[in-house]
Amino acid sequence: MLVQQLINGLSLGAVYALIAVGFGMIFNVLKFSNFAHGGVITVTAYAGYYVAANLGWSFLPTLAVAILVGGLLAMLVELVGFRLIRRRGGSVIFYFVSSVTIGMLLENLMVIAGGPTFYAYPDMLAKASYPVLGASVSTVNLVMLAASTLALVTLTWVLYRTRTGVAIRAISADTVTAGLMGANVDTLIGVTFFVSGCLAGMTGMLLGMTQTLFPQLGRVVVKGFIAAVIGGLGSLGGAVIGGIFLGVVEVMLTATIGSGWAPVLLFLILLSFLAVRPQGIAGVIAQEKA
Amino acid sequence: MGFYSSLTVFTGLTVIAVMGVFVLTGMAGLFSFGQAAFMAVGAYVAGLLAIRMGLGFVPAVLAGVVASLAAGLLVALPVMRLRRDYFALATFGFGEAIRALLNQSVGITGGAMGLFGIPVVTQPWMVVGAAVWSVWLVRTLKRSALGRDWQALKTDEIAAEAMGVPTYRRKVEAFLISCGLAGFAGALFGFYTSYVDPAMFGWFRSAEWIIILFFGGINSITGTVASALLLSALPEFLRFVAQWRVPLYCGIVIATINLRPRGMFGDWELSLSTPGEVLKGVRRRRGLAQP
Amino acid sequence: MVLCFALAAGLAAGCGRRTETTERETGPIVIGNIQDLSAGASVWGQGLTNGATLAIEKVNAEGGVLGRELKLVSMDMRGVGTEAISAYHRLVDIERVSAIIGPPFSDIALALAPVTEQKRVAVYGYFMDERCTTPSPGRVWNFMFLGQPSCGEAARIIASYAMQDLGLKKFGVLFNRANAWSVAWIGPLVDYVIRNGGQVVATETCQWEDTDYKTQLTKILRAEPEALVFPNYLREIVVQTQQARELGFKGPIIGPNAFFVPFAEMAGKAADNIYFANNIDYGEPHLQDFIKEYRERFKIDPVAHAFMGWDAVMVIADAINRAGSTDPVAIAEALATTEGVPGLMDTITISPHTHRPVGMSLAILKIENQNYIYIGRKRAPD
Repeated sequence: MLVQQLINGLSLGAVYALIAVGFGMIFNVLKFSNFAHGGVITVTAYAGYYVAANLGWSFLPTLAVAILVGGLLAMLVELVGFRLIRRRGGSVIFYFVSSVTIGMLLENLMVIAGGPTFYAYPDMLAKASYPVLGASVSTVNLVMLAASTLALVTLTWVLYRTRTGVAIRAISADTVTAGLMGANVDTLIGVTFFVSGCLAGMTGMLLGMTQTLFPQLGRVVVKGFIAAVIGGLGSLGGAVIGGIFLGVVEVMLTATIGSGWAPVLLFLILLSFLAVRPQGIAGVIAQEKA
Repeated sequence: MGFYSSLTVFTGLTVIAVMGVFVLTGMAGLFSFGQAAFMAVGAYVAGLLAIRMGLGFVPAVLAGVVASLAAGLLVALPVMRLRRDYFALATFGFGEAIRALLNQSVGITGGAMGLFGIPVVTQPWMVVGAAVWSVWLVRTLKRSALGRDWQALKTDEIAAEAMGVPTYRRKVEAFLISCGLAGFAGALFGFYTSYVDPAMFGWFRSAEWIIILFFGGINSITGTVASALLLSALPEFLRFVAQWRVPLYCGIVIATINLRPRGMFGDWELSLSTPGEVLKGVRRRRGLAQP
Repeated sequence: MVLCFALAAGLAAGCGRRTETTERETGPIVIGNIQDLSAGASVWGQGLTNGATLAIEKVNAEGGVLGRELKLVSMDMRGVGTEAISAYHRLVDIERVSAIIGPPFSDIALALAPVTEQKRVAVYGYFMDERCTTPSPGRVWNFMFLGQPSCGEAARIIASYAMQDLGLKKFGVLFNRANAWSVAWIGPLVDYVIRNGGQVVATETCQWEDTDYKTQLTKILRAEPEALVFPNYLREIVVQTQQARELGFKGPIIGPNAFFVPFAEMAGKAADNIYFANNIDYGEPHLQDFIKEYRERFKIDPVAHAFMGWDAVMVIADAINRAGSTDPVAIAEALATTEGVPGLMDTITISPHTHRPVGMSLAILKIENQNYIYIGRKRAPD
């Protein structure tokens, strides 16, 4: 029972971690919490479904499509929702409202596009679950765990070992100066959104596979936000730790006091956590621009 | 209780709550995702006292307001010193926790089935009166020293602190005022519909209030009121476009934020002297035209 | 600014008064329809509206009611109580409807009930919580009517089938505590099981936001139930069923009509060994014309709620005929004495004391290898 619950917690945590990393990318660069991420997740889940169910594509090509759609959509979101605000030097509040609204817009567009039916992905994986230590782990969750680890490793490599990565870190520290130093800020921010969108695409399709398809799918982004805060906003490693931590705590609470009371206790834990260690587990306070 | 009077009530209640959001977000620059939960606290406390203890309308509404103030204090004290993101997160968590609490305490609140049997007392004119009063209150606050402190800390918290503004205290005050107004709207709401359930107070409603504020202009009370009137009445009249209603609404807001970031009204305020100034302007223009 | 607001309010009050006096004597007879057309449960709302649309066309093709055509005006309430109240006011004051088809949501109906007492236009809907029609024993909401077996009846129908016909005794329950319908459904089921010598070995709850139910299921399965009960909405039961199977549970799962189409297709291989009570079965001979027409018209299989939409129009049309006028109060009185109206789901007779149908049956269906198998119709035991 304990092993199964721990595995349940890790599986849930993998989902949160994947969202928190995508979230953290944007936070790193523009210093705001991008709730449009949830909308992108929803759209990619539908896109993946379309390819898998109507064209009959198998798992990996479908995943590739979802990732690509997510990346392109995120770039579009940046163009429509944030570019003008950034050019103007608008305050964080504007990004925030813009992102919440875009999230809402994408969700409702899916209500219209999807019509009044629910959808479920066709079975694409040979085996739905594997037995581990007498418990069962679903394949999709394994893929998720692998995906968030892989994404994190790749991202770290890109950010610290490539020119683009260095430039992205430069604009995250100071957009204006980096621009003066010759970095193409628009392109780099576009790239950041693309990468974050790719992560959203991955999340969206895997979520769609485990949870069926519905327009409110992306609302889970809030849990990713909480995970990102717990991990330390802006720290990618922290996001993963925060996601796993949140997943395990949530499952343990549900297992002991029940799903009804869990949000109440989770809130109290969050409050005390913020009071005691506001910088998050990773301990890096993201720089706040004046 | 006709269609227009119910529209008046719901619009009026939105105005009251949005005035709270104006203080919190427009003036002090703070974000709350849980304002609707404070509305829930007001509605449930007032409703429960009226049903279970037979408390009258006025004391019940007052108790509802006091309860939401107390809840606000609980959230504000630990997190108000932190980054604004964290405050937003804490209010969101609070909203979820309140809904869970209402759903769980079936014996007291009726759980998901809701609380019903609250006496119907609220009349449209009361809500209109309350809305006018809250607008007046916020307008007075905006012009007071308190209002200037808020605006100072919104623009630059460190500089404000250096100038002697007790920023922590001021932020808590702004939050409490907004909680009180949300609770007030909630109490009136319960006494109008006679039925409340936890699903009525989700974070979507909180987000909607923020959208209203931004549409009107975060620095303009006039703009905020106008946008509250427009945006809460608009969906009613947009019913014919059925499912395109919400996307349309979102499109308007995104366009506003991107193209007219100060909102429809910018910093402009309507005041009693406005008609006079307009007249003066007209006269001046005429005067220029004459040699 | 104050002026501006006062003006708006004055305008509103003025308009309100003007509409009160308008006549309802000419043109089509308007029937209102309040449904969730865009939010989480829009599958049901759209289905209900589609069914009602077909019924209205049928009635009109046969000459209408009282020599006049029927017209359906639908309002989207997005699953929100206050929106439903606004929609109701709007239907009554502006569209001047004679009666209203209500949504299949008990919490929405509870919010509407006090308003109907003031406005006196009947709502005939599918809110299964008994309090939507009878707020307390012996009292009845004069303008609220239920068109299908109540939660209590539906739960007793499937519970009695599970215990008597399948011989099950030990049940594990997972229900959504934030969903009024789930809550109203599970109470009578647990009562029935215990009164008849069965056992509920584990009860766990979930929330709307939950996306993963393995935690609760792991706990329930440890208590070793013979059958699981999931009285939740479609999206939830798909995931719950899949995860229960994933955790190794092979026994029967029983539940409400949410298990009907498109559940089996969505749940895939997990859709097996499931029993539930539904309003209809696609195989029933008297439904074939409707199903064919529905598929042609809307390019989709009718959900259970589509049949409700049809029946609602038929019952309301019958009431208008018997009332002999379009006066909403007379129609409400006629609805209360509805007797033997042939509907798609069953013959409908409404009790004037409870405003709920009397002795309406449900079809028991089994899902085997993703296929729906009709077992038979059953009425609620006492």
